Amino acid sequence: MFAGRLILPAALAAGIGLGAAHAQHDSGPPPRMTSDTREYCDALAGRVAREQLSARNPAPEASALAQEGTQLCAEGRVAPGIVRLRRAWVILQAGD
Amino acid sequence: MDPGLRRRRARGRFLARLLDMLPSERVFHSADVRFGLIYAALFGISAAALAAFVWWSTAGLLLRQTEAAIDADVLGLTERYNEGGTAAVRDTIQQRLAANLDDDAIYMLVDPAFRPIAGNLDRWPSVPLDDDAFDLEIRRARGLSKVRVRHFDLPGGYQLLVGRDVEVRGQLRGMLQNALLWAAFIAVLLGTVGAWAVRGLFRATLAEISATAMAISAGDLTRRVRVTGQGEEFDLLAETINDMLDRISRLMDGVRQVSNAIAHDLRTPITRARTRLEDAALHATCEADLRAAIERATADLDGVVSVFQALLRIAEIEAGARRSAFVPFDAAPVLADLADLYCAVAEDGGLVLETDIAPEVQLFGDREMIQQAVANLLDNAIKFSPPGGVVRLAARQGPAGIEIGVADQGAGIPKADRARATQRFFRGETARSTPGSGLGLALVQAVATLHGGALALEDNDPGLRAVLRLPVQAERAALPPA
Ligand SMILES: Nc1ncnc2c1ncn2[C@@H]1O[C@H](COP(=O)(O)OP(=O)(O)OP(=O)(O)O)[C@@H](O)[C@H]1O
Ligand SMILES: [Mg+2]
Repeated sequence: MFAGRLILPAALAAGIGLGAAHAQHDSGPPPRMTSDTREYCDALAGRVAREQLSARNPAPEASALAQEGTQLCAEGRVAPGIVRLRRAWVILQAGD
Repeated sequence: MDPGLRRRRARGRFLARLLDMLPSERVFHSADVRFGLIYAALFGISAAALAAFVWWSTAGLLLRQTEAAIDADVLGLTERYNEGGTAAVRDTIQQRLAANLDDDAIYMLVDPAFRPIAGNLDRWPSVPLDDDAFDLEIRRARGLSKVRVRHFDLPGGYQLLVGRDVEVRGQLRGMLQNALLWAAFIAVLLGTVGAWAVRGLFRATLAEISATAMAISAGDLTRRVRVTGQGEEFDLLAETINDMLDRISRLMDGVRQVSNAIAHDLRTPITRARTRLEDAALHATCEADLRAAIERATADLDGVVSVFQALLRIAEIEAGARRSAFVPFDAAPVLADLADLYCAVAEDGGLVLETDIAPEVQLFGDREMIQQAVANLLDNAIKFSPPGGVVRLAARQGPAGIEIGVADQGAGIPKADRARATQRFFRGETARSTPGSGLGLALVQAVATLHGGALALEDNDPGLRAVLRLPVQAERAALPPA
């Protein structure tokens, strides 16, 4: 009787365990995305700045966005900063 | 007692009670439950199909779009790899990340030793390498996120991972799942209610019919199905059933009336013959008396036999077996012969028989039967006319068909009796004194019906005009089927 009552929770536990094992082989934390960090923001700011220099006549709104983005990153507001820098990048790419 | 045993017993009793509560097999065989179940099944299938379509065109579409974007990405990157190796792939990845306005792209390129070359993950995730596409969890600045990734082996042992953050899509998916679950619950509820209603409706509609059928089989032949008056199919069914019942009761009335009439009409001559024979047996003094009594009794019984013969003949005509013997023929000479024959009879009764027969009356049918029918009409006209009148036999071929009319100037048949005059054994009040058994017009009617025509009894002011209307030969196709 006890054994019978234990089967279900055991099976459930085994099922959960299996699922977890499948998703993550090692028990370490999941990998981290590096494209929403302060470092990436700075790197992207540099990349945009280089692109601006190499562009023949960069669009004024791209420059404004790039400046704004760099400023935001410097202030530590990474997510909005990256968004502006990416927009600036896309505009610069389209201008070429 | 051992508590385990007691518990086991209690469970056994509970199971037995549960089984009792389950509907027995008979329930599933009853039509109303079956219809209810069919309704529920149909409802369930359509609801499931709808849900599947909604899922396919929303959550499914999102997933397919994600997969398509990843596939396109992988394709572009492998092309770059083939053109310029890992350096080109790294460049492209960096450009694509810079242009990733949706902030949802995941890239990872590693060398054969799983050392990162490019991408936006801090390390190669532990992924099942044999799997092509799978879901992964990553840490982002805003928290944990679910990503859909595809893994790709590049030539030279390099590995490429391309993915999309589907956290937002996952939330949408969850919402949809929730909504569909609720919808399923509501559908089950509605389906159950609907099935119940259908079952009830079915039961209510059939209950009336089965109640009527039951009452009738119990002997109450006057019962009819109630018509709701909404003009729907069940009303139609009810009306058809009622018509059928009406017809059955009419036929039964007819049979009853005929058998009553046979019993009534034949009792008199048979009793008379019996009395004569008994009388002769008791009181006859000589052989001549005896012989005379026997002869009269024989004549009486001959009458009985002739009634039976007439009845059988009408039945035979009504059965329609003779229709295969139909031929096209000219009725004019047949009618002329009849007129000749009845001329003498009419003269005996102090009547004049006039004829107005067209030179040609083409008919398709049984010559003998037509002859018999017209003879019956002439016989009636002469029998029911006072002396001094005129009996007129007319036949013409009109556009609508052939008309053979026999008109007299006698008393005629009162309007109220005309419908009944063609029934077997019907004899009018005034006919009591004349010989006959009331089968003449019944035979005419049967002949007319067999030929696809009709017998009409009309006013001749004074007298009766009996008209036999038959379709022309060309319309033989219009004959009722045998
Ligand atoms: N020409 C007529 N004039 C008046 N009454 C008629 C005429 N023909 C028929 N009837 C009425 O219709 C009844 C039915 O006629 P039908 O020919 O069926 O029977 P019947 O002439 O009385 O007997 P049967 O024809 O069997 O010798 C007759 O009894 C009579 O009352
Ligand atoms: Mg008659």
